[in-house]
Amino acid sequence: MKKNKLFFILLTVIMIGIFSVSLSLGAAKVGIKDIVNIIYGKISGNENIFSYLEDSTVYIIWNIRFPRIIVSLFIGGMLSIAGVTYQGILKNPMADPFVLGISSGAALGATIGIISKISFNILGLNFISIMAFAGALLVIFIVYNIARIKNEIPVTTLLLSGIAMSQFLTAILSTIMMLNDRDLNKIFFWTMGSLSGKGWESILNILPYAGLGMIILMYYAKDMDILLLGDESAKNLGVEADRVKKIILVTASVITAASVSVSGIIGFVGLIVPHIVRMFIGPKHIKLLPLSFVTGGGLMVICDTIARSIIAQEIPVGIITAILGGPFFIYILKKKKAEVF
Amino acid sequence: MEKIIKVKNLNYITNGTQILKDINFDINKGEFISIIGPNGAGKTTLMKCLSDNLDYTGNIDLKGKPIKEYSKKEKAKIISVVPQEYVLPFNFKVIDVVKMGRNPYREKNSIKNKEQNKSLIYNAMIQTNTYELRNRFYNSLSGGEKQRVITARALAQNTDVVFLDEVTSSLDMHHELEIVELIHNLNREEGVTVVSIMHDLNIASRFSDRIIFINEGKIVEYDVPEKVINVENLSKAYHMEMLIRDNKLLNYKEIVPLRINKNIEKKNKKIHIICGGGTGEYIIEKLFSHKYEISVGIIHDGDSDVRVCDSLDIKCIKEKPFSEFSLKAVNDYLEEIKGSEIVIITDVPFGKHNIKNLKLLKEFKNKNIIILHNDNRDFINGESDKMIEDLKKREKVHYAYNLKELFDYIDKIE
Repeated sequence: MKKNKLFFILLTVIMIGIFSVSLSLGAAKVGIKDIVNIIYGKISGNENIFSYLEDSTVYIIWNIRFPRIIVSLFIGGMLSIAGVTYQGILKNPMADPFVLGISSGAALGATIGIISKISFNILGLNFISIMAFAGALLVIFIVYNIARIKNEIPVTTLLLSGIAMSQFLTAILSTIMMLNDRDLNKIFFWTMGSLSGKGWESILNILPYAGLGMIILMYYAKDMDILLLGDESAKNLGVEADRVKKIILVTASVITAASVSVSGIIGFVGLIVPHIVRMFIGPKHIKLLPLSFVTGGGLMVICDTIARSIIAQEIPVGIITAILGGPFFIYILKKKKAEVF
Repeated sequence: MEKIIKVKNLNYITNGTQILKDINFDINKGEFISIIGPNGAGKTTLMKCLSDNLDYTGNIDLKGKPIKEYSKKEKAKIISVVPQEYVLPFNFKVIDVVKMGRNPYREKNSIKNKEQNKSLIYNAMIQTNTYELRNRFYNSLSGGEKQRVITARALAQNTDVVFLDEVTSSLDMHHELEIVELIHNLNREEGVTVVSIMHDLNIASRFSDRIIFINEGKIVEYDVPEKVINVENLSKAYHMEMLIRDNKLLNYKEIVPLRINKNIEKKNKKIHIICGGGTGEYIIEKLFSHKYEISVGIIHDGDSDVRVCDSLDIKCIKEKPFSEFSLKAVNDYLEEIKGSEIVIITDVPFGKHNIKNLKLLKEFKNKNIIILHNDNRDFINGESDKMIEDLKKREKVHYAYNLKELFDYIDKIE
């Protein structure tokens, strides 16, 4: 218990640190004190506190950086808990939020959205996002139904149909990209993921998915632990394995689809964060889920800050997550693998 | 007696193959039941049906109610299943694995009776000798330790019925007995009903109240071990020769597997063996397996060689212990020697009574005789040594210094 408390305090301190640094970094440098004043003032409604600052500075912090950081936090967190869920349910440490073909479904949807040049907004979601969301859900639906045998969803068939679907859709995507070279850049950027220009309305778009998703997954946290023993053992221990599996697979898929529709495909976070957290606190989902959310969120904020501030041009954040995450993960794996696998 | 499990017209078909065919049986409360049968007989399938993990047809009642009507949680409060040990995809601590046994009693992520809960987990770990392992990682344990942890998890479930699926197959002798004795004690002291697939027939024979013996998806016999464990039943199902004898020490029918049935042609060579005191066991058994016609004797009843002959149904001329050979025995003996192509004298020691076997051989000047060497066999003041020396002088007598030479001579004599 003492260890947990320490870990919690440490994590809070780290998160506040990451937030502050991220807010202050960027094309315009803003001091930590000014940032605290702006945020405190906005939240408490007392705008006099930061009246000494230029309006543009306030705007950059409150309307551009702050919401973008929150979105990063949510996207990282959502991808991470989806990763936790997939790794647990599929009993496969290589599973990630995209393992069932969600990424290729979303990418294909987004690509069709991009080349169709239709543009409108519903509740802050543009057509591309809506297409991505729809593509992701459609693919999951198809993959589940290919894999399903009566009431059961065997892990192997699920993984295989996901991989097969993924390859198939990627081939279609490549063909579309080849035939539409004018949009090549835009499609490429989308598939590498970016949080550029995400404001308050994006938060509203993903908040329900993140919140509801987390509640559902936490409700089944103990069942997810037991499902790691195998479906049959889980049933013998009183878990309605087939039903629970279905609910949490759908939940994780919707979480993934929602985050992809906002940010594009950001790889690696959902794969490595669950492993990193598991290395420190073990495989129990009741702790693994919330801590993965926070860790994944923090990691995403760091990566996005780097993506937007390291060079003048924005780098797709998916590139940063892979470049930073890869070696870091390998380092931790080397040090702690004996306890985890 | 209360019937805790009732199975009626159970059939299971998968991919067009009928795995279980019309299975009917009852299990009484508090019984220790073993399920035995060769690989592929349907043992595991049967157990999966009994724990409601397969879609079968027919009826299985648990405590008077169809098992399909129970929710998973209700069922897990009555039946716990101990599977064979396995590796987990992620590494839990031992204590966390055992705690999962309490899952059926969890309501909305919390357990009501915390004290009882704790003591059940503690007891399960003490009983299985896993308490010391509680903070170790499950995947780093040895096979036997993993099996004990999984068993502890089932005990923590605190159920009326425990199913075991060949739990001892990955264990060494020590741990096999440890787990089985633990389950047996649970059965005897706490009245837990045990249904166990047994890999080891001797364990099944020794510990069960009744044995379900299945072969090719059907119940061949369901009865007490003394009835089920017999050569006819088992040798047919397992396609092998075996020997079944009373283990007087532990009081059960003991199975000694001999060999798988090979199509060895029956030899028309007849061999008579003069042995005793266990000197003949190996030779008798080996020649029998090579389908020689064998006779043995004269030998005093109660000798371990006699027991081998009886269990293999080999002709054996016996005499009452410590007594002079009777006229009838002698006549039988002469008859057998006459009809034999080869006579083998094992390294049996000779004394006052059995020296007669040697004496009677004098008459058969032209017999093939193979004598197995023994420096220390004379217990009758040199009389037998002298007789052996006399025999050795004969042309058709071979003197073997070890068993290999002995069998070589048998092959040579055509």
